[in-house]
Amino acid sequence: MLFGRKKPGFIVEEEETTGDLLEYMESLPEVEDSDFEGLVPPEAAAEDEVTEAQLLASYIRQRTQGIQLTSHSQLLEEVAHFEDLKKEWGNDDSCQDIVVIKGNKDSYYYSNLHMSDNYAMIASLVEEKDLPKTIAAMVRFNGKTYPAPTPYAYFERSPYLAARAQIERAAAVLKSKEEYQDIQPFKNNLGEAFFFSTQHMSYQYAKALADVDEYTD
Amino acid sequence: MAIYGWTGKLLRINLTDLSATTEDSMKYQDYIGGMGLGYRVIYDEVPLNTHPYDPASKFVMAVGPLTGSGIPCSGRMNIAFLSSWSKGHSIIDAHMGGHIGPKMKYAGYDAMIVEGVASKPVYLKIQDDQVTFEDASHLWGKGTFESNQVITEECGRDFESASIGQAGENLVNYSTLNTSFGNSGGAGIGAIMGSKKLKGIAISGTGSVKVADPAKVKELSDYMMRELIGGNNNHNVPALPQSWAEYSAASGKNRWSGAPGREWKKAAGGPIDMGEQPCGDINKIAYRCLKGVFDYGDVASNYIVKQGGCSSCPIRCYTQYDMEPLAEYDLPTHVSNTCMPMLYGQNFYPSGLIDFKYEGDAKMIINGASSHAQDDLGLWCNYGNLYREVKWVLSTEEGKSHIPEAEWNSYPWEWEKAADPRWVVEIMRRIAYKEGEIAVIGEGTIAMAEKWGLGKEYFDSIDSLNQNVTYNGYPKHHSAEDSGQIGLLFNLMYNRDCMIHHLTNVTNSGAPYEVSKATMEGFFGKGSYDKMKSCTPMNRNKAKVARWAFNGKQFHDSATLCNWMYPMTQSPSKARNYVGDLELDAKYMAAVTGKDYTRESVEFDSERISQMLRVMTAISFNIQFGSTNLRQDHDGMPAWIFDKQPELRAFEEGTDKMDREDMELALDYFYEEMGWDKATGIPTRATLVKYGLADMADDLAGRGILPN
Amino acid sequence: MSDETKTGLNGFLDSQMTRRQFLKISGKSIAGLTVSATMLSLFGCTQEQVDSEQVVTWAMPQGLLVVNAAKCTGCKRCEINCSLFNDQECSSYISRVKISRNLHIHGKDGLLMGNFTYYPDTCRQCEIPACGEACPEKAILADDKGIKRVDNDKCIGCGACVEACPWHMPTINPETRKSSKCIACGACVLGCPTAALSIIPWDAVTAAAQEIVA
Repeated sequence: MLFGRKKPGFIVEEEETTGDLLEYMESLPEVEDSDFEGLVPPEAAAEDEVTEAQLLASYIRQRTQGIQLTSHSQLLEEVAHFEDLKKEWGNDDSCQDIVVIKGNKDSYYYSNLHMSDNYAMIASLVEEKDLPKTIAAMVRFNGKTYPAPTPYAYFERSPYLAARAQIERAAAVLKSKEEYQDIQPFKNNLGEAFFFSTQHMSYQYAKALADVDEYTD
Repeated sequence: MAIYGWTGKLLRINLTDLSATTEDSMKYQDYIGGMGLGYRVIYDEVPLNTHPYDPASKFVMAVGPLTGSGIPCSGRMNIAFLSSWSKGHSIIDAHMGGHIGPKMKYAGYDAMIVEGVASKPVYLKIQDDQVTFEDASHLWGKGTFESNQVITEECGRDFESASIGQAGENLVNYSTLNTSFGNSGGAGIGAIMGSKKLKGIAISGTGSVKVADPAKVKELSDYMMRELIGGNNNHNVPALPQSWAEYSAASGKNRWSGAPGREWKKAAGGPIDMGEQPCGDINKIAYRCLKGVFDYGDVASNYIVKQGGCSSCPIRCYTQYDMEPLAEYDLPTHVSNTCMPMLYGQNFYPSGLIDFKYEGDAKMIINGASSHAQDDLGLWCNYGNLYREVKWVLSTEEGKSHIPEAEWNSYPWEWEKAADPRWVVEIMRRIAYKEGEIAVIGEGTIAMAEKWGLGKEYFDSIDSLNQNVTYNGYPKHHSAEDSGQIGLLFNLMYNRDCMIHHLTNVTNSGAPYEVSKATMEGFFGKGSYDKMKSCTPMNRNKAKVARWAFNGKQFHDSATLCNWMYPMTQSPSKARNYVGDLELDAKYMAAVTGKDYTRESVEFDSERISQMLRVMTAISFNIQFGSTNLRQDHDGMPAWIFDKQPELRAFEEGTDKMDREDMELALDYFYEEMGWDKATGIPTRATLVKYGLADMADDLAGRGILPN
Repeated sequence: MSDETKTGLNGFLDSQMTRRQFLKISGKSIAGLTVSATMLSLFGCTQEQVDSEQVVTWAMPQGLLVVNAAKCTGCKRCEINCSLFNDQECSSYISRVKISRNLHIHGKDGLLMGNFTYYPDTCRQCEIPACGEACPEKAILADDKGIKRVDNDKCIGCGACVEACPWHMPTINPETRKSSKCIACGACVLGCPTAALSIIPWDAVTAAAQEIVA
């Protein structure tokens, strides 16, 4: 046993155990728990009246903690009087964290206590599955914010998880559309593929930032 | 009077008469501990013309009041001694993590001064106040891993142990002292111990570190871990987008590499997903670093068991691998290191590498073998100069020309061509055993240049294999490429690579420039923080930043705190506007020691240590070369720094090349900040008196090098 | 997750009952037993970790202590937090949770044995504590929460508790000469940067058990 005993014979060797943990425990003989007599179980918290709107907010909050947005269309479909409940949020201090981000195809609710607005933006892009649009939005965002170019590999990783082939296809789409002409691909000194946006930096600067200097550990 | 933080005692170990005596350590209080204490002792007790392997040489292992106090990232030990390999043979220090630093405090000692020479190999065994010299003849000739295992078995598993390897025994200048698993102190300490026949040190302690305000220590530690600490190198945004985080690294790569979907694939009992590690959640901090993936990409996960590291640190920057392909070559499969030894083994292979089991795993596996061998031999790399020089020898005609043909042909080239990990292990072994001309590399860059007739042009050359930041024999360690003049200034000042991460931690954090700039300008004023690869001319505020970082390293290595994690300049907390807390060092010192430290007083005490470094360097250069001018003779900057990328001008967008005139101004401003003479870069009497170092001023005057 | 309709599993209707169930298996191997997905998630472990003996549970008064050896990274902050919180100083020797002694050489495990298997030993808060039984002064007694504590007024620092404990968990503090023993304060858990140590409150365990029944 990993947590091995130092003195043999201290614990009687158990028979081999199988089956469900809880059932197994129930099957064992009772043990004395004299220590617990003094313990008083915590009082069940007095349950406040919770409104339907607050319950829904709580549901969205829970989903946000699970790193998931909740779409407006889904809420409309599954929640009666959704628009009324949404109005209630506006007047309820305890629901101020429930906010919405507008995508192309839908809108998405999340709790800004548990998710940043920037991540919600990324999540909504990923949700809408328009990779060229996602790439353009993030390359511009990165070019403006950090500022930095964006490697193709960035979109292979969480939370985008696009395949390299998909990214290559998306790059072709970006090249073909007028509205995406600022998104330019290039390769750094190691031959790694990058995008940058001409709206936010020069090619010279993008390349300088993308190039890997050796021995900068 | 109760002493808090410090133990109040140091050990004096005399290997000639095998004696151990205790002395008061509180007389060194003004020097904080660690580096400060070590430098003062060396100055007081070892004439600066003493060769490091001379019986009269000494070394000082010292920790500080924060070591072992429970403050996060306070596990390091400093070792001060004279350099066997850098120009001037002046004062330097090595730094060793793992767990032995706090153990020395628990045994009751702030420091250990080691002098004399043992008549036969011994290891030091310290068990609280019992100090004995154990026979180490059965350990002599063994690598550090086996030596540490045997020492621990002999002494007991509650001992921490550190050993030198064959490199130290063979008096190779590039040698280390190794502890735990992959932790080492370098810069030549191995050979100094080897020259004294001291194979290793074992420490056990039943004591404790007393802190003046335990509740405050806990409160500050929790505050730091909840609000200030980021990933490795305190990168304050995650590499990949995380749902709680406003920002992430635009490149997708920084030292907060843990993310959902990234795993310790070889964890016992199945893969462990790193998940998200929100700011404020202490119980997830150790999942942030995932160094192996930072170094090698996602393929690294296939071999990661877990992450380890030093005492008291929640970051765990040592990726612990199980690389089963190495078994085929009869090499150990369990390997671990956090940095250099784990990064440049591929330099040994001019023919290139071949993957082992997974696509893209070649470099990593080679480095697993290489790092384990290097750590076992106790061989130092001079922050990569060793790897670059080996590559130069093996891959270029000019480099090859210095190796006799018979020796060249004796190398097991079939291993090199097959990208066999035993090749790098063998070349490392030859250097550790001084076998052949290639082993000259192990004597140091200066020795190599002298032996092979490499002139100034070698140091000036624009070549990625030349990272020498001075003509003194050591490379840059986060210099102009991260922070322009600021980084370059502090890279010049030591007698080895500077190990300063104050600026790189901010510039490479992945945080938006405007956010970091607001933080830095809030601390240091306008113009103090340039955009990456878009430098601006020198200004006064940059000199202040350089001074802060320079003195800051002294503080870390004296207190002790990790030089890679601190200071907490930035924070991952949006509520804080990502601004860290530069008062933290003083808060730690006050809570632990009970003394009235402030940020100013901590910086003052730290600068005292900077002054000692500069005085001792001036004296060494005077002894060795008759130099009276450090600006010219020590702080000279090789040409590549200014002449790289000839198609671009300095301060143009897209380059970090510097400008000669601008750097002269930078030196002027920096010397002024430090109170050093403008022409010579040597501290003035007024400056030294200010720090209570009048005796050093007298010393300089006696040698005719005190500025007027 | 069990897909049978359960009429049993009555032993998990409240915190007290749940604790009594888990007391039966405190410190025992649960390898081979199927743990529901909900409960695995609550414990922060996987079925595979359970089956490879990486996970051990101990029924403490305030909740279930789960020790997951696979997650331990040897940082020693458990020892630091324990000693700072309970002794107002920082020490490894008197810490009541012990990782330092397992880190480098621990039988065939440990860094210097060439593997990365190391984990903290925790006090088991045994129902019938060997330490208490061995104490000649009857200085180790359960308080009103069931935690076995050392009464410093009675302790004579003889070390019988250290010897008697099969895991040598207590330590005699060299300065106070008193037995230094775990009081289930939870400081080690709060400060663990990987949650290798975690304490799940009984009501959460109960809720997870009930979920399976429902």
